[in-house]
Amino acid sequence: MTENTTTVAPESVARPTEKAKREVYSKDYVDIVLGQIRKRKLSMFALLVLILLYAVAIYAPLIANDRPIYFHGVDLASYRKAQRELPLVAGALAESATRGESGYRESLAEGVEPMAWQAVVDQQLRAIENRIAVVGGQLSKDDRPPVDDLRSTAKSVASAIRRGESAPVEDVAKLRTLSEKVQREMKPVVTWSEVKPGQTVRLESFHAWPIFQNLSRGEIFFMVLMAVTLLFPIWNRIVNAAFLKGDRLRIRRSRKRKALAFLAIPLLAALLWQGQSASFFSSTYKTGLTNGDVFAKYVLFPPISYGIAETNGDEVFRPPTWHRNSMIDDDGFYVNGPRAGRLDPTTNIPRPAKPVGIEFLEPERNSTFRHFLGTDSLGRDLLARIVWGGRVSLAVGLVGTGISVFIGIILGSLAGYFGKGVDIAISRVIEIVQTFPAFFLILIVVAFVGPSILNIMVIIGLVGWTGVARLVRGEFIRLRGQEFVIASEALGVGVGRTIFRHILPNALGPVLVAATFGVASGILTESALSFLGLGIQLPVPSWGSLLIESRSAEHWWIQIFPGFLIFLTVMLYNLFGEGVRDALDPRLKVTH
Amino acid sequence: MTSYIIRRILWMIPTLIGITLLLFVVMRLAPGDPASLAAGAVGAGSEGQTISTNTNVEDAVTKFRKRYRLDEPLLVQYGYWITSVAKLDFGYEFFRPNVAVRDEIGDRLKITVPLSLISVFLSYLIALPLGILSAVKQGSIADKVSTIILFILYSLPSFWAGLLLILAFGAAGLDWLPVLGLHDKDAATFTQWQYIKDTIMHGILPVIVLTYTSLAYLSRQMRVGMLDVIRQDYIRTARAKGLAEKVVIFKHALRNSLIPVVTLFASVLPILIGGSVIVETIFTIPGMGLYAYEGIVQRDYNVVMATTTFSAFMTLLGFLVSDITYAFVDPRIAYD
Repeated sequence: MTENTTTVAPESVARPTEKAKREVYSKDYVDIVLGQIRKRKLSMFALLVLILLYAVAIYAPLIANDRPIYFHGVDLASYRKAQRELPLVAGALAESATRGESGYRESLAEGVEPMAWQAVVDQQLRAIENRIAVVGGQLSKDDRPPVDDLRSTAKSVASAIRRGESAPVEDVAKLRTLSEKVQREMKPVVTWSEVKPGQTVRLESFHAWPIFQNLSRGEIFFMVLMAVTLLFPIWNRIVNAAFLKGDRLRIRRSRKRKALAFLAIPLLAALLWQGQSASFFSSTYKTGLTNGDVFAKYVLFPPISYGIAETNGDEVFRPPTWHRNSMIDDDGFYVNGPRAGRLDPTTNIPRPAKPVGIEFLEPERNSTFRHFLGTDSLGRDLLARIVWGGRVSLAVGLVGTGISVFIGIILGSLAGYFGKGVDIAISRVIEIVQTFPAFFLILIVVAFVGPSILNIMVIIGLVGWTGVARLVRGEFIRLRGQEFVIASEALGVGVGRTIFRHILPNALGPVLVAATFGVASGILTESALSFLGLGIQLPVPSWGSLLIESRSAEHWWIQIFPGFLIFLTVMLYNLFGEGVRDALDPRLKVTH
Repeated sequence: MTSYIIRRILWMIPTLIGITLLLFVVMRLAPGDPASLAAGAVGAGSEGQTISTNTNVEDAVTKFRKRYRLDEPLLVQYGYWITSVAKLDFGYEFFRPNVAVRDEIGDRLKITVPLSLISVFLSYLIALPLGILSAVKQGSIADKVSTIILFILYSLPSFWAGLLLILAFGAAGLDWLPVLGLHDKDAATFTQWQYIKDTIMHGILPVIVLTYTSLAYLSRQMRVGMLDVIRQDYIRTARAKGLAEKVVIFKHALRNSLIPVVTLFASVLPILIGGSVIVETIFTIPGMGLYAYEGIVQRDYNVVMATTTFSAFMTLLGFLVSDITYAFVDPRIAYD
């Protein structure tokens, strides 16, 4: 080939090589495995549904929330509240300015630990700035000067105190007068009320993305990651066609870079993410919109307009609203079913009418979608809680298995690679850990150490690594004597590189299968723990803990729906695991 | 073989000590003090007086600590515990000071062991023919249906299955079966026949839940084992020399494919506790599982240690028995 290129013109050589490449392309291991997995339609379907389940869990804030996704309007209540409180918080700072640090210490009650003076001043300044943000954010340019003046005065006073100087007296006085002026003279009006010149201001509507303002960097990371995953079939095709020109060799070589994109894009998004520092709203949107404290030009609520912890005393243990026993009449009485016409157990007279309060943009009283899966003991929407509960349930299995796979790979490869004493020691540890009655042990440790999500993940990981360790050890022993390992050692490659770059990738197949089944059993373990009341503690919902909201057979929906999701997830993982196992090692194939 | 067994049994001792020591330390170092938790109960129970002043509570706490040796250093406590366990004495319960844990375990086993044995027997009874059938008739509709059903059962969480069964057959559903406890509340007045019938009725649902989990697992194993054997050369030989299919399957294939499944029986021993925690909690059956669960919830160190030790011992024993049976049923395997 090289000889040819020196003699023949480049144009004439380009075509044959490309053609040759196409003919030469032979499938590598990944190609074959991916092809095998793709052939298994049921496994692919299981994977797809699993990804959708994870998507629902990750996008839970956008699916079930009592805040709107987008809001365009005026927040009267917050404005009034901030306006009312301004003289108080400004007065506190003025007080600090006049009394100084010694005055602050004297004013404390007996036994109260004094805060650092700087922190006190910072806190007071922040209180003022937060309220000014709420007030000033809704004012037009013409009305804003007094507010801006107040802010700069507060800043200069605070910095003077912080420097240890005494703030100018006129500034301190200005703090009080200005804040009182804002409170007295800048009454907000809604357009149809009477406008008194000089006394009132007209509020300007603002745009807000209330749900996004409360998202953390971690949530953004996973949301973007999920978006990248969901869009993979599209962007993968575009990249392959546009940049890689459909060349299979180049596509194969780009695999690592694509995998990196899965990590890099979400990471970048998370790093760039600036969560809103102060929440603009102090009132809750739904109540505010219902009462008229908040006016909206346009508002977009998530499909399930209930919050994770939003209680409603009028609808305690309401059956799913598509069920006939869930019908409620105008007075709030159930029309059918066991709760219809029920008397008060103590007085034997019918309970007083208690019409269901319907807040802004919530479905109608008897609409099928009002509480599609019913409500729980505090009138919280079960569907919303299931959507949020998936976060815990799905994460615990994944992270717990991640921990156990990590431990298993490290110990298993050490035992398999070094053999002899190391192998004996690690094998003995594996034997001992395996004799622990696993579920029982997890139960005890969680009960005694405390049932936080992290604890449960770690314990599931610490108990479950032996299977992976044994698999990896076996694979290492099998591969240890093969030519490529000996070659890598002969070339002087370090032990770590030999283990992790050369042997481990060849041993990962069975690990992947074990991990898939491991996630299923991790999810089962967590939900069983929560079911026994020793797992994730309420009010944080997990599918297992939702199940025990009520053990009464009358509240069947609480026992059926969360459990079904556990069952579904476990089954999908098992289904996918079987597909991967068959694809990786056709010898083990059971079905045909 | 004998020396192998003896070595294995001797190995059990350090393993058991390791497990119990670890649990002991984890439990004692964890926050929460059973002494002050129990002070009220113990003081009121043993002194027969209500506690009103702080000194009395403190007194009770000190007494409690002394009685259960909670005031000694950790390792000394463990030393006391392990020496008394060597004499098969697991101490007394924290909250019922007159009940010896060993006696209580004995009583509880009388409930758990029959339940477990029945369910194990049933699952073998159903799983073996099912597994064999679906392996022999591989690819048939019966095979496909049973594979799907077993797959679903395999993924079905036992606690949810229990809840569904209670919903379906309990008073809220068809009202066919009692769902709580093991006896009716008037069981004391029953005649013998009524009593037996009552117990059976109470036992049906727990046995179903206990059975289906191991059934799904066993049957899948049986099917895999059978398929594996059927592909062997000697089966082809047997067919080639014109033996009837019945003889091939039942005489040549079945015996060999039974080996792994039969040895699985030993792994059932630890299920005596672990697997029954959930089932006994759902159906409030006062067996070992519920006992262990209550001990954990109440932080009764003695109960937790006793049930765990028992369960770990059973696990070790299960492994040992499994290995030995393996050597017995498969002459190709030899230990030295």
